[in-house]
Amino acid sequence: MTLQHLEDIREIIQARGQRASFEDLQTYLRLVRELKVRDSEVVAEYGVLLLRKFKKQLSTEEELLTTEQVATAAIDCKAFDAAFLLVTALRKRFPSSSQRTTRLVEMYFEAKGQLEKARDNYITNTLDVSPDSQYLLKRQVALEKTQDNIQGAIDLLCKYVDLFMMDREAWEELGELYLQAQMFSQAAHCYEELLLHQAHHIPYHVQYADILYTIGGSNGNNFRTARSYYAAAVQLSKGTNVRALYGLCACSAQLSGIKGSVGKDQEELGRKAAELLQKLYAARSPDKLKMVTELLKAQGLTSGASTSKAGTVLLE
Amino acid sequence: MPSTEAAYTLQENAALKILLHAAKYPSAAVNGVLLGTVAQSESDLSAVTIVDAVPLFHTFLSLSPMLETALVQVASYAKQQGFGLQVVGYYHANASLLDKDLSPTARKIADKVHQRQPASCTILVDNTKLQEFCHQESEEVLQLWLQDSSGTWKPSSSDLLTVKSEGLSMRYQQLQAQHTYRRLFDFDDHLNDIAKDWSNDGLLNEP
Repeated sequence: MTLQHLEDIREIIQARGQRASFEDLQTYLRLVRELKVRDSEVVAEYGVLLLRKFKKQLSTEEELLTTEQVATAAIDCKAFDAAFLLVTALRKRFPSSSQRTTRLVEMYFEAKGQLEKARDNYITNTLDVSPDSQYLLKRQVALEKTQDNIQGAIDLLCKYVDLFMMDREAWEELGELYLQAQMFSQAAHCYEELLLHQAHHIPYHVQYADILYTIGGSNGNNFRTARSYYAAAVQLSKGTNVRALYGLCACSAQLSGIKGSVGKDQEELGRKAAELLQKLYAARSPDKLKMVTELLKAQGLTSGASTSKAGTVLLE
Repeated sequence: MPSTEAAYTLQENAALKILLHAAKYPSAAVNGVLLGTVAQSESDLSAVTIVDAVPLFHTFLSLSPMLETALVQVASYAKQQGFGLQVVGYYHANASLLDKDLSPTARKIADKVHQRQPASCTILVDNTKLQEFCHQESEEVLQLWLQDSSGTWKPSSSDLLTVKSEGLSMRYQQLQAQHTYRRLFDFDDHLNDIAKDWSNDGLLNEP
């Protein structure tokens, strides 16, 4: 199931409005959970509709999952009346020691701007009793972010990944925080960790390469390494990952300016990527092809291209 | 490099695209470039007219390879439109509602744009004014930043920025009612699916 499926269902629901079917609403919310999409206004609106009209048709487990999901969305878009009802409903079903519901209450107060209350009553109290609570340790990091204290968030998250080194989400977040703080080598290290966990995950290859390229350097080593990760991403994606193709082209251009760094097969890589890009654009985005070709010419990867009336690309 | 003395006019569609981009990704920092023309007058004052905004990224704003790719293509696009259209500035919206400053990442990119066109400016969405703007209580939601003589970006007097609009907040509310932000695509969206058009041609034509 892809993002396109999600968009299709969303359009169906939007068209039917209050008369949207149970199946469509349920599928939409399930897909959002699966794909980890953040579209809180829509999720809050459709979620409230589903729970109001069709709650009895959900299994207990799905009802609770959905309530938690819709509560989070309502908090995210500051629909506090709805959020209050949903969070309170969950609070009633579980003991007050439940970390998962405590997390929701903390988020509620944090979103309302009551940061002291959020921290003292819900984070600190819980961590006193359960110092290893992953949910609340992460809320601690989030609270630092809310207050624009990026360095504080980084320090806390570093301690977290020391304890929970298999938590991919945490490593991803730490990488992003390092990038925000312009600490590129540390960010690169996070992606090295992620690649150890998931050696075939294409976005990690591309992001790692992007970071190395950004660090750059006059001896070309980072561009060479970046190039190998872009190449891996191209292979894993069977030539469809556009970021990786552009990345290969950019690396070629950088390396051609550095003495002694381009071997024959390496030149081929850049040219092949350029060829592939032009094919993809000719098929799916022909009005942008001219700008892409100009870029590739400037990078020295194509001598020129013309489009025949049938839309195929011929390299001169 | 000191900036040329200039007065900036921001046309309504450009302003709207900036706001729609920010609205589409409310929990992220977003950025893009400004397209327009530069007219040199007899006095030292140039007149920069910003007619369009091209949304670029909502993820990983500090990384260079895709930024460089985008900047080259947008510059080509501007040239293709003719009439002296070129990249004349950079825009940015912070993720945090309380953040009124230009981040180091934003400054670096603004510097890059400024290197190619010394008359270029930076526009920062004033997040602290967003709520008033959405309630149609204020029009002042976009802030002009210029480089001072030492090359540091500083918020500039609002006299130097004229927003050409009959009612920006009202027009924005109309677009919100139609969920127009869903049909705006940035370069990030384009990289995920190249059929998505980052030029957003025709998005704001009257229905």
